Amino acid sequence: MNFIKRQLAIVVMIFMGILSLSGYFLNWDSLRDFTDKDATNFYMIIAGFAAFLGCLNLIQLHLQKIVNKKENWQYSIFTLSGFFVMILFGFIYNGHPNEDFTDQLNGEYDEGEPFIDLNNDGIWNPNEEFTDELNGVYDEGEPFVDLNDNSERDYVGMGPHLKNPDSAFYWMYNYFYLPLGSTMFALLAFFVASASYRAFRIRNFEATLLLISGVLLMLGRVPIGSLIPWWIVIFIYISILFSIIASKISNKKLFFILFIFSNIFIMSVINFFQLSSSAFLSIPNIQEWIMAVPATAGSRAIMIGIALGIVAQSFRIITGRERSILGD
Amino acid sequence: MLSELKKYPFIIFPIIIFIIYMINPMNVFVTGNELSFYSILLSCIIIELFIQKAKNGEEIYMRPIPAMNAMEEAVGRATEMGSSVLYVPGISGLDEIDTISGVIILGHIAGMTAEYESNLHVPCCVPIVMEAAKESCKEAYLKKGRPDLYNENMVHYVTDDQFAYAAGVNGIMLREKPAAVFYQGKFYAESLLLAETGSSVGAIQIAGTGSSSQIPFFVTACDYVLIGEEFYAASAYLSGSPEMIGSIKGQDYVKLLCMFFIGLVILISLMNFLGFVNFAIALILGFIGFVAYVVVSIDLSEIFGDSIK
Repeated sequence: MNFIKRQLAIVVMIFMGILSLSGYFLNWDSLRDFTDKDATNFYMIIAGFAAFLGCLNLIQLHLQKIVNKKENWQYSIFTLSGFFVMILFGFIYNGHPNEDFTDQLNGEYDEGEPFIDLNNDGIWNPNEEFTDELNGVYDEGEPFVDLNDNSERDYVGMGPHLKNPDSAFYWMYNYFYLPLGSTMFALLAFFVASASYRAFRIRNFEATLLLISGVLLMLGRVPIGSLIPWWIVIFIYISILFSIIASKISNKKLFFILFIFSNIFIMSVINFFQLSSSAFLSIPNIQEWIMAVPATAGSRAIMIGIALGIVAQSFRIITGRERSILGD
Repeated sequence: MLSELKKYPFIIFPIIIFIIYMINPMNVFVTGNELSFYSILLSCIIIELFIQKAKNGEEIYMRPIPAMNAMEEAVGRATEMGSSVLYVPGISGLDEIDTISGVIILGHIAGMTAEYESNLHVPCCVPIVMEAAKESCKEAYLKKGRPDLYNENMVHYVTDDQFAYAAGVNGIMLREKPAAVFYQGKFYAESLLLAETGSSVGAIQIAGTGSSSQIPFFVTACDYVLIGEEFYAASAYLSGSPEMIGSIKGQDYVKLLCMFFIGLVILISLMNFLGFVNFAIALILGFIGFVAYVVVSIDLSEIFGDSIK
């Protein structure tokens, strides 16, 4: 038993690791097919069986809660109700208005009716005689109860009903599952606001940078960003600069005069040299630059680190050094 | 260099593979993947070299990673407060290396909770991850000599759906008010939903993920975050074995090598732009120069000892 749980598991882990890696570099189609398709299918099959274990675990856990009336056991009733209702609509009750028909002799050949096969091709041909029978299957022309008045007989079997918009399963999916999922997703907007508030609180230099780039990005992404004139952008730049040096100047009067003077002076210079249409004075351009240069550089640095981490972790697993996943 | 080869004979094996790949006899190898192959091979050689160094008893300094040190503190805090520890292994299956890393770290956290006798709660999104997590926890409790504390229900299945899972885990957080929450695995849009709720209940939160787009959310809402390669190194770091620490050191050196090449390419591109030098020639010369430097520095250190390092 220990051999199966330990040594065999390690051997399988190492072997499959090397095999998967080889599939990427060796010019062998069968191996590549195995790593790209078969191995993935193996995983899907194993994961499919594990789904049963997951469902059993869910039922067991919540039934125990209800039976033993553990704390918050009432919520478990909702969980189990949802679980069983969806099982009912998925496996037992179609919920689709299947329209009844009357089986009749229609004087035409229908699939399954006996016929004299003159040319022995196993297929009924128009010149071959057949016996008209009641076959228990709806055939073209037979009368049916048209529940939804669309002049066509509607019938959806179990299985295909999951994709039929008229089925009860689909209704539950559209009117319960999707709105609940969207509600959770919508909550993200509020959480982003509270997280941004925390991140933007000016505690240190990094937080200040985050706040500045955040505000510029937000302004650059909305239509009003392109309407902001160049002199406001100059004012923002100078305000940022003065907010950084504010702690260094104790005389507030001097600070204020310097701030006003700097604004007037720099705006006059820009106006004199006709630099007002420069890219650095346009909020959308600044936003694009932040996204294309500092943000990309930072994310690439993290991506390189992640790639290296994956190589090192895979190496530890393939060489059998990382055995924690097997409980070692 | 020769003495280095004698000390670490395994280096011969990748050199042979390297030569065979270059020759590519009978078209055995796929053409077009050369750069990936050489990069992976070089990274593996460096990592293995440091593992062997660590094995041979060489002292290896490991830079402190605050998030790793905080893990035990977080479990200790939960014990003191009499609250549980919540571990979220992400929403992906075992075909993602992030989830595997998450389950490995779970083993270490379960060991800590067994030691501190605090409650552990692991809600899973994927059934196969639940099974792996159960095994990992069971073994950790057994290894710490506390199988009596292990409870089959501590690792349980919630749902396969992303936002339903987020709702389920948020519900657990709001009802149980865990003192420590770990997010270790693959996360998508639900990361902020989880982390903000954890923050609102006052839990100490430690996150780690390979999803680069989710790292900023965790950074804003969590107390500690394992960024990039730190997440994959966590299990090796926590294991404390010299072999594993050696592999992290090797990983750091590969990173240094990458930084060197990025710098080299920037410099040569600049010179090429200014018309001083041809890009391809300069790159080859730079690479030869780097290899020569490595060879000479190794030989000199062999001759003059540690003082040359």
